[in-house]
Amino acid sequence: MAKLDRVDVCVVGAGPGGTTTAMKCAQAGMKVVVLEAGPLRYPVKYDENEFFAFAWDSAEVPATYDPETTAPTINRGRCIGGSTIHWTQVCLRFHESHFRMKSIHGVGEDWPIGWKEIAPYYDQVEKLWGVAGLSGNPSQSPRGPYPMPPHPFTTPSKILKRGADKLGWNFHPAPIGTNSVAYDGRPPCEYCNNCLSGCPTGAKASALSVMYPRAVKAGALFRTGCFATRVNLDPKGRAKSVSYLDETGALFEQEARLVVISCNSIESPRLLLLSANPLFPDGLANSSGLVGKNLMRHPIQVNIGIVPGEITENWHSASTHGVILDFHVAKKGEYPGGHVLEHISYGPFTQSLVMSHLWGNALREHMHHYRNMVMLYAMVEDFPLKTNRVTLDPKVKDARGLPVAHIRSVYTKEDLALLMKGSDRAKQVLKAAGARSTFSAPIGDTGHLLGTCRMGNNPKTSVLNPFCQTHDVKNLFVVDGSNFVTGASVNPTLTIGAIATRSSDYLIDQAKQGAFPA
Amino acid sequence: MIQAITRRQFVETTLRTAALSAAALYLGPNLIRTRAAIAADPGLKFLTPEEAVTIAAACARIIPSSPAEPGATEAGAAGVIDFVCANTPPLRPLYRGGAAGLNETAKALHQKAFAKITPAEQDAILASVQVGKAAGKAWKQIPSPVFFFVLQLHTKSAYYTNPLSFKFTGYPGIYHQSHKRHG
Repeated sequence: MAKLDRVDVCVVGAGPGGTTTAMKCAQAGMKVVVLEAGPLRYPVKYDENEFFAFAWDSAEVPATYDPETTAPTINRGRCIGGSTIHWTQVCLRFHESHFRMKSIHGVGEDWPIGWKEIAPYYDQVEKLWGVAGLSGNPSQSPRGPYPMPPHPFTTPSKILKRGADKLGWNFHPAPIGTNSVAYDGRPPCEYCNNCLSGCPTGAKASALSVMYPRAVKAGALFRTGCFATRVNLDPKGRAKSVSYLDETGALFEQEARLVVISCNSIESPRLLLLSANPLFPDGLANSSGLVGKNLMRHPIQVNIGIVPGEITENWHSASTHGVILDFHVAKKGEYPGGHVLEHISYGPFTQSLVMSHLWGNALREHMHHYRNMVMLYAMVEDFPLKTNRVTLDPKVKDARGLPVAHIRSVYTKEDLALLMKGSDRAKQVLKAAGARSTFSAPIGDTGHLLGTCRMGNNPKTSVLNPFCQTHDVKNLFVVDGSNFVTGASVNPTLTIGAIATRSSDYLIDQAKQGAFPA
Repeated sequence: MIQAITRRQFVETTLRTAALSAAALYLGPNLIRTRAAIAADPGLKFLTPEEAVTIAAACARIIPSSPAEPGATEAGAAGVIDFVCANTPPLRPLYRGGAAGLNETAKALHQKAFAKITPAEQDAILASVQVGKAAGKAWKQIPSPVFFFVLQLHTKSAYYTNPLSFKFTGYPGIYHQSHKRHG
């Protein structure tokens, strides 16, 4: 095993959380190495078809599923940029009540931080990424103007607005992390429908287009094809190094003053569990027993309306241009979960795949209406449950000989009932918009992976402190969606970015004060 | 307050989605490169000729061809699946076992291989495979809904990302297909 020169920070995983920390620490003058298991793909190399993004999760990222798992997750994004390569760029903030679900509704847990702590970081991240939107939505917590004007509605968005208007619901321009005008040296969006496969122009904000180049410019070193196998401790119980295998299978040990994990809510707990040692026999930083528990995924159902008259122009943008937030926060006394209704325009393959139960002539018939389709999906807040969890598979190992993640994640009856309610509302919108028929796709998975290393003030009931630092190992941080306490009903990436930014500020400040090993 | 759904609805919903189990392992490669590679070297790389005929017959029922419209056959879906298997080892047992299962079930019901029975008979078998009700020893090794899920996924990807389908969906093609300057 080759030992590498010690650095200040070793980040594992180059998604939105990891690249944020790498960028901030490098800009603060710290020496940073980022280990990324996947490859680097430049925007110009993004291919050609909508299937590609899904392929990244393929045989490279094996996991096993409990047979009861609902709609197993397929959205992993193992590459520089992580899942922001194929995200749909919806940059909704949490509602302020989303941080206090236990106090208000008696479900889940309260976050140890709230709107006051996070709002300034939302501002920072929106400005850095470039978010186009329109403030003043009464369903949201009050906020200032967005850095960019909203995108104009596409033709399907206009149709949906017509339906929502009739019902008295507010179909509002969605805040999207894609340029509506030239911003930050990146061009405005051309609405090419390639968002789910990687943006070929760079108009879309991603960890690859925004944080990665800044981190590199500030001196951070990214090593691709490098799979972290273990976080090692020194005799004092502090993180000392990360062991990893490169593409050739050679084993290296990267020593660091600080270790920051950001591999998503499945692979981050897997790495901690793989790093069990005599001090932490049940997994590193797992004295609470909560590493891997409370996996949340935002159950989703796509609803499709067939409208009269073909949509012949201005239809193809895969990102969400409009959103109904009227129901994204539950009223007191109601079932506590909220749901959003978001517009999306899939390409034909994704559309045919979403209707996974259709085949033969029924599929043919369905797809003949492709140019008459308007899509509105319902996505709901699911709550943390210890029984929805990631463990190490006792039998199945990956190509490196390491136990794969075993995922048990069952949507509850309440989740499914709320999803049906959301889909009913989506179909009401579609019908009011003039759809002559409506369909619901099978219930699905968003790939919003959250909650498996939750933050909190109490080390007995949380893995991380409010700054994403593990309670057990002071120089170890987890900065991806794992740190979520509850998932809210909105797309999580903006919040992941805001929390990672806040965590980085704390980490840098603590490092300056000498809190970590010299 | 929203209504709690019934136990039956819950079970049905869960069953519908259970077919996705383990599918994450089986999602395939970039199809444009795949098509180019197959065109350069059209021979079978993993499937046996008999398996290829069986899989091609199943694909042709997932997306049937008609005089008016091409389908999985014209899109070369079985060749794509062969290529995917050759390049994705975890997929191999699924298709090998699935092809064996289709033939076993067809022989038990009709005394003929799956590719030799009528389209209506093939459809009935595929419908039973989709919901996990197909009879046969092979389906004890390979969960038939998982096989069906992956089969429909690859067949749809072979056809609906192929420009020959765009005329029938009205899809102009994504960026690299519709913007020649990047082609």
